[in-house]
Amino acid sequence: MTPSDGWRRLYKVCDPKERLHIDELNLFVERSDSVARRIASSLDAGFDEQGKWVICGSVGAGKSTELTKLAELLAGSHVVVGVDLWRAAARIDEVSAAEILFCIGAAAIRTAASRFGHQVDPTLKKHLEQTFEGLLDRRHNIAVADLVEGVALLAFDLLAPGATTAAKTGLQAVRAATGSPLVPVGRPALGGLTRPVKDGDPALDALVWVVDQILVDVAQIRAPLVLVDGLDKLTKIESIRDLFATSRTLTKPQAPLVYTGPVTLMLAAEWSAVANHFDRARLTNLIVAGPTTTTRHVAPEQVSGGRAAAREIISRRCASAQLDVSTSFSVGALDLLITKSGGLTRQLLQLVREAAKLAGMDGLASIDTQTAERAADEWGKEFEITMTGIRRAELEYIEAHGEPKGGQVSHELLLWNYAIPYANGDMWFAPNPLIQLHKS
Amino acid sequence: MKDSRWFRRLQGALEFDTGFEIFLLLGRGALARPALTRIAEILRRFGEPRWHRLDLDGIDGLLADTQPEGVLHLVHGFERMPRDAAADLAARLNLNRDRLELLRGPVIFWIPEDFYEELLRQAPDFVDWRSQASVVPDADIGVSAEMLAKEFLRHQAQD
Repeated sequence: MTPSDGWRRLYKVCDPKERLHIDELNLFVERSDSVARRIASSLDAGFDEQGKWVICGSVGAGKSTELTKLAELLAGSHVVVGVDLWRAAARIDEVSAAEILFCIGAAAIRTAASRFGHQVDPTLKKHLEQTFEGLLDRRHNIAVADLVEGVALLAFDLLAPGATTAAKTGLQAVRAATGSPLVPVGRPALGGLTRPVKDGDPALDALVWVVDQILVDVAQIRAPLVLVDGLDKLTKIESIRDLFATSRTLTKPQAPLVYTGPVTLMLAAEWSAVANHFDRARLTNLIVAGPTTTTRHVAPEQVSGGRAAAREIISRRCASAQLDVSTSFSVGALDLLITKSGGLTRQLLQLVREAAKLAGMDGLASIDTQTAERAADEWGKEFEITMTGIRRAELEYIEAHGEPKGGQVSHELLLWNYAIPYANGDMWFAPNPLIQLHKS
Repeated sequence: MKDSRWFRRLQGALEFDTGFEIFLLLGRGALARPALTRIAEILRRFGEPRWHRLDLDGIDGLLADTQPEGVLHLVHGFERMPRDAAADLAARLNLNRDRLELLRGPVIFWIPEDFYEELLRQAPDFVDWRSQASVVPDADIGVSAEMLAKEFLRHQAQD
């Protein structure tokens, strides 16, 4: 075995295309303030049986992984219904609350059948189609029955094993033998299908009622828990406000519901608005450095705790690639990668992946500081592509004040991880450390 | 081109792993085909070029159930589409990105530089899956004014 074999394995293990599956949670490093555990404890203790949570955080902070962890924790006591909106919606900003409810109903029917062999009353499926038809924008000519099937295929099986397991391998072999594709074809394209409706619209209320009846039917197996992933990808502030602050529709189903929400909700004004309808949970980034402004404060042990968690993430990935972190990275290289990650999990993995590639190409036995710097430099350059004067000025403001001014520019900077939020009771923001804000 | 940083990074990645990886090259729209042609020539040892025209075929070719092995996928066409249609297609790309894994080799997309922000908005997860996004300066392609003019005329004739 050559050193590059190990680097190649680490490169694969850090692939951003792979989300962690339930059988890969050994790679999951639980935060001290774990959102999944907090929600699970609350439900296990019989509290918040109708709770509605929104988990918000940066893109790549690990929100989907938290949902997987939550599914694992509650799989024995609940029917976990997953809705994967990012795979069901062509344009996430155009997805309406009614479409999301429709997805929840379809996914619940599918989950009950596929995981428990329980057939939800067919009348309810028919009612789901009829009520959704009543909400459709007449410009669209849609076969709702097909849409139910299509959406149901995307029911998010959080309890399904990942690519590394025998089960998945076996499934792939069967599919290869039968010639059927690995993933569903003819994706439904939710987003903008319904006419504009406000809370209290009879058709919308009817849809809520039908979805509730489906959940009651599913509850014959066990209490349902609905996990909806994808709304963290909303890009328009109006869409975010409409779904999470203005309308109450997403809170209506009579079951515990957890949504992932966009990082913009962490801004003070949005954060307050959402509190009217949801319990809010911040999935904050690891604190790997002190604030850039003296107006915010962090205890040294919080920084060392955050850095230790980041090191643990790398350590577990290395172990999965059959590498020892202490011999694979110099101390300086590991420190630099952690600092440059900004505490953002996906960015940390991207940097480790890039460094592994460079080490493999150069035939290195371990990743040194220079290689780590090159990796950070490569990814830092990508931020330059969309840097503008307005964005740079906003980042300088964030650096000086520890918070954005608000508005669409701030939203995009947060959405694209140019700015990273942190919390330790207090909340602050900092420019992404990969960005060279002050050029020499 | 061979000495430019973006190219060395791309080549290095292919030397390291020739599995499914997404590479985004950002440059002038009119240079899409000549640039990808040159890149494919130099990188031929990594696979036979397989062209995909988004403006003609959408993403159907990319999503076909059976895909050849040992090829280098070269994708362009955003530069030939009206902005709305390109944005729609980007959204479809985002929606279907996991199906792209059926492609068994590297995929190099040519993205018009002025479309990249729209791609980030419409296809954030697709962009997140990239192994590289680099700006390709005109000068690196080494395309003559004559070739550019001919490319322009070819586009005009097809429209």
